[in-house]
Amino acid sequence: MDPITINKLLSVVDAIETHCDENKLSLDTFHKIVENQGQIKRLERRVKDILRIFGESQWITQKSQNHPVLYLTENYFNFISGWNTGNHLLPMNQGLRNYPPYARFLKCLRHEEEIAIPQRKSKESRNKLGRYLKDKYNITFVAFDTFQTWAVSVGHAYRSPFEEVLYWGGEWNEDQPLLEQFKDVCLECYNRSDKTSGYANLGRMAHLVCQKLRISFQAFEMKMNMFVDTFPGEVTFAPATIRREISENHQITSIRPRKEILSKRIAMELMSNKPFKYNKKPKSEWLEYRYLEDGMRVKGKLVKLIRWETFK
Amino acid sequence: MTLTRDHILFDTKNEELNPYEQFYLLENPFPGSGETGFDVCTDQEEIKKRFVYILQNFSPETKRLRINGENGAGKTNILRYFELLTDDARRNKLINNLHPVYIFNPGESYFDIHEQIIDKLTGSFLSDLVVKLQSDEDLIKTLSVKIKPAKEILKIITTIALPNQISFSYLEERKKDTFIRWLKGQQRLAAAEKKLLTDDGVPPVDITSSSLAIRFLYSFLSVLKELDLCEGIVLLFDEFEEIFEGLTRSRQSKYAQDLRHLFDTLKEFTFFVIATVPEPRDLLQYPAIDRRLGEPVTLEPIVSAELAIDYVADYLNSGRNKYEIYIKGKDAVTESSRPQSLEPLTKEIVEAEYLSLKETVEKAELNVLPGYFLPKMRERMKQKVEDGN
Repeated sequence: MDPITINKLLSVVDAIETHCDENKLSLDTFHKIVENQGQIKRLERRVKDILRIFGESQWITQKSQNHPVLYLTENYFNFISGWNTGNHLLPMNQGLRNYPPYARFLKCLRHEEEIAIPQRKSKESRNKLGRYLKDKYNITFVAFDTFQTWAVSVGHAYRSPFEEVLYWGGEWNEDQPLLEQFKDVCLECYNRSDKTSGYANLGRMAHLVCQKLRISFQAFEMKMNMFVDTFPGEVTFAPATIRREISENHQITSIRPRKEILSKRIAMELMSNKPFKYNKKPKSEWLEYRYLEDGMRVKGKLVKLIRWETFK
Repeated sequence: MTLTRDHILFDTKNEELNPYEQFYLLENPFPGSGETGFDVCTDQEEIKKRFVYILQNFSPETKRLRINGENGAGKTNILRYFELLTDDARRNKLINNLHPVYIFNPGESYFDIHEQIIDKLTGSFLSDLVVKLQSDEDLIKTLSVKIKPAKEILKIITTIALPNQISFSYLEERKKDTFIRWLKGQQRLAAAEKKLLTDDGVPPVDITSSSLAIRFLYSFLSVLKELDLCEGIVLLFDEFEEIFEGLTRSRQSKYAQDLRHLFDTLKEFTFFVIATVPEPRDLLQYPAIDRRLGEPVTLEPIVSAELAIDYVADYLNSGRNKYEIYIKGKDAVTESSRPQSLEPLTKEIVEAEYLSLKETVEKAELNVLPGYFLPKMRERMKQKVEDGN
């Protein structure tokens, strides 16, 4: 089977959450949920595949094969609770790494540290990478391609928009890396960044920090917020634009908190399903795409530029 | 019965069967989903006060009002209401000679809104302008000296207003039409059309860039002001967020640059009223635009059952006003008199609808917005009047 995309996975989880009865879900309902995911050629096989993914991820248990009731596990509820509240990255990336093929992918990325992403059109380099991953880590190219979006979305990896490289980025939590270490690397990367009137683009600086520290972009955001609390006055942020071309192709991808999605959905239902104009062709209901240079929220405010004050 | 006699049935049939008439209404007065009432705007006192204050104190200084509201909060409603209010206030001499221009659906480039502005301005003033210029031969010369930036546009308007052309009214209409298309810009005119807009063989420049389009718009407004046709405009800009939510980054960037130019160039003549969602996704990437929109004021949700009743009463009143105009216009004799209550609804019904909606939206951390509440009342009204429930 093709590995399930993060979009599809979240869509199924959302539907389960909507239709489950406490920790139970009937097999029939699960069938209907999968059927509603779009045009599916072989529904039975698809249902089995998705059920297997959920089973292997320890989100669902079944007393026996074809038992009419599925039971949702504590792992599932940890995952959904993180996603529901918006405080989601750590519980969600914990929830996903239970799935063995994804765990293999993470192990591979951690070991390789960085993997050049082949261009879509280049069949040769795709085949080459596919063979290498298959031989060494038992991962197909299709799985790599799918899991890279999983990893970038939940903060297990950082995807550089400049040289199209996927970096291992999962070495972080609330304590790691230490803030002192984060500060030193930020300062070093700030010194290496292009500056105008002392201001560097925060996203471009983050790009260097993520590569160096092996953390995801989301981890950088979290650490930067902790940093300004711990070292007030060390840096100044600014929202203003310094005209510079934005990076193209790859973007920063994050999972939207589910409560935001539910609010929008209810608002649309109350407006009688009249879709909002700017939502005509949403790239994804579940994921948010950003450009690296678009800045990030620091203390609730969107900022794009950073200046180191203690370093002159 | 003859066919001719039965024609009368086509006039009377709707009236006799219209169940709303017994309640002194022509139709269901509440807007459905995605519909907007123009002449009713309940609550929002703070925004109305600010709008009227700027309108009354219209000066060459910067005049901006940014109205924030989620989808369904009533942004289109209040802009359309301000459009009517401006016209009404001007007719009643409560304000100077100011004219509203409502624009929406900003499309993919500045020319999408430019076209709407030109349509409104030429529709309202071009004929009067031509007549005024025709009535005084020296006026164009005087204006060209007085308003230097308008020299180019006056040269073109002269070709429409030339006295020796008056007899050919069809030609004048054709020239006007060509002039409007030229002023809208973006597309080049054919050589034959350009010929219509010149009297010395030098064709008008093609307006292919937004900066040129804004420059000629400024010149046109300067002429209207000098001739006391229009002292200024109230530009009511709806769906502003679409620029920053729906376009690609390169289009956004170009649009933002043009808007910046528009805001700065027209500031003397224009009161900009911009309605948008609270945080358009990419707007903060353009601080120069964000700054120019001014401090936002937020549309108030329906916070209580009492306010919900006010909404219902306002829409019923508006519907009854329309009915009154209709029966007066038809010179019809009607025995029913205007009800003062919420009939056929009651306070209890409105309260119950409001509270049930409130319960639903609060679960999703939303507020009760007119866009959710009014369609619900429309449905309730339909049940009462048409289905008898």
